[in-house]
Amino acid sequence: MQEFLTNNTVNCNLMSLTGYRTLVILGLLMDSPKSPDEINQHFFKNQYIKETFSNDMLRIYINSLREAGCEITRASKTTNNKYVLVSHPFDFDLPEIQLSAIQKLYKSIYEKIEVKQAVEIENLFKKIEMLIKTTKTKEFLANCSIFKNTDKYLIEDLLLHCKNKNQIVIIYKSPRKIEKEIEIIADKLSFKSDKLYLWGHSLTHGEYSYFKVENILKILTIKLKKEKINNKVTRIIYEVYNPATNNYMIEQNEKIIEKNDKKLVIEKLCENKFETIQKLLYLAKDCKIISPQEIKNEVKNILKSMEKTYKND
Amino acid sequence: MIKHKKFSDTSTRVLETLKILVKRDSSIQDIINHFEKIDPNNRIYTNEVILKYINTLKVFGFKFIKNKDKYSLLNPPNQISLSENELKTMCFIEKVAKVFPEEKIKQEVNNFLQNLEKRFDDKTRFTASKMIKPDCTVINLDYEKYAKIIKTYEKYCIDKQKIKILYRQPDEKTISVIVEPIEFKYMENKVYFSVYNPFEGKIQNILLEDIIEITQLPVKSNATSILTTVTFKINGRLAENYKLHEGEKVIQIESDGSKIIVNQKEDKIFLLRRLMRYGKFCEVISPKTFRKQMKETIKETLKNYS
Repeated sequence: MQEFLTNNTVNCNLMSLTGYRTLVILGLLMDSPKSPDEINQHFFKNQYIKETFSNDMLRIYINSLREAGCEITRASKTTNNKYVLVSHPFDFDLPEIQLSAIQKLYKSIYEKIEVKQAVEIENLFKKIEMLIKTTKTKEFLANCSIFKNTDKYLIEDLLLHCKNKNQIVIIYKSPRKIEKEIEIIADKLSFKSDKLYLWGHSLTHGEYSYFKVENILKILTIKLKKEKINNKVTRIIYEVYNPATNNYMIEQNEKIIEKNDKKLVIEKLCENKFETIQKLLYLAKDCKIISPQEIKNEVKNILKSMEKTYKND
Repeated sequence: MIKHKKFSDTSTRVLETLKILVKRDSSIQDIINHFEKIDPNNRIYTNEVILKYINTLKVFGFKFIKNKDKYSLLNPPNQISLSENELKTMCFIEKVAKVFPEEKIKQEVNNFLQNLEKRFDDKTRFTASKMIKPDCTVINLDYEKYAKIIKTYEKYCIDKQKIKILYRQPDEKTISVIVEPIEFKYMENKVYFSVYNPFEGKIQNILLEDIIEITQLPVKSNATSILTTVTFKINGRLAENYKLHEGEKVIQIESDGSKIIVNQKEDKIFLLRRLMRYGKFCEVISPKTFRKQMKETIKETLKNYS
């Protein structure tokens, strides 16, 4: 090697000339399809080869590439008498064990990091997916995505509107496939049950609501003047039994007004009744609503209608 | 007659050396070990021979640096170009991996990042060298209290042997079960040890804090697990809106739009709670025991309002 670095000459002791010629062909075919004549032209001009070879010899080099895992077509009429490199094993790829690890990491943390950060991670996955040729790896990376059916530019726009608490009009496709305009003062984006939602005071519905981002078709307008709204807030008091076992986490609009070994008494300033009732149903028998009577009755009626489903058992 | 294609053994070995070095940093001995494993003719490979292959790659134009005894390829084919933002995201992932409690995941994520870094083109390397590493705090990812315990239990998942777990139930009673360890699950700021209970045919998520003791048994876990299937029906707005959870599939859609769904992989306690949340839009169909459990849960909950 020292001799090569000094004299820029090669010999069989330093390296494999056959191996070198095969690498040259690989480099040429990676660039574009080449005919045997074109390969020989490059061989003749190459400072370490300076000669041409028979078609039989070239075939030996091509077969060596195939033996190493390259897929190369024959030089025939259909390929304009050129060898075409269809695929090779030197492409960028990631082993499954690394893909599984990055997927596990991301899916364990995406709800705990900022939405903006999750978007950046997915943008990186998308970039890598585009660079990889292996279908299996591409599919794996695509499946890592939480925002599969969501326009990432839309998410970035919504994040900005939430930051500025802008009053916007969105086109929303309801589950029944009906498109409607909804006016909302954007508050935050957050995950709920593996889905991304836009939260805010909906002027259309007259309450603090949440809308699945993948169903938002576009942001129609941004209102220059924000309306003053009084968010309707309902004060709910409820008891949670076995709080440690239930893994009960106090949220932003909740406070503990009483606590002992057996229970917590929580006061919640509820902005969205539907979401709160879902949360309390989740706690099942480990939750009892104390007030207001209206919410208590609503939950009781839901439970009674659920009970009817099983009454013939 | 089988036509044997003629090829050059040496050329193939040079290309094989390139394949190894593209995938990972390797010493001459690593490469020798690889060849000895794959060579059907049981040839002997010497340091000089492998060096000759590496020199061939060098003369062709591949650049290497040597880290201790390992050759690291600096310019693999098909390099990637990343922006400063994308590099910052890599830093963020690196930071998250540092605080993640599972060693195996940490290691493989770092390998993933190194794999990407190996493929950087010159422009990306330059950007990375000039970039000030962002100060990304990951305040909501506090797994420190679980690190020691997960390090111990992680071994059980890797060994794939049955274990006996003694743990506390919600009613404070302790119970011992023989299960097959699967993985750790991170849900709502808590960490669960997810296991397969072969006697009951179900997946169980046991809160790490509830585990009192684990004993590894000298019995291999079965390759296949037989899981109880829960079938439930969803209707109305829920059916229109529903996103399938892991391991679920829709087996039937009725004329009124309601859907019959089967679920195998979810811990039954978590599943029951989740289905309770769906209120009157959900009905458990089978198995009978689970349907009965749902009915009992509704009844017990209603008692709070009698």
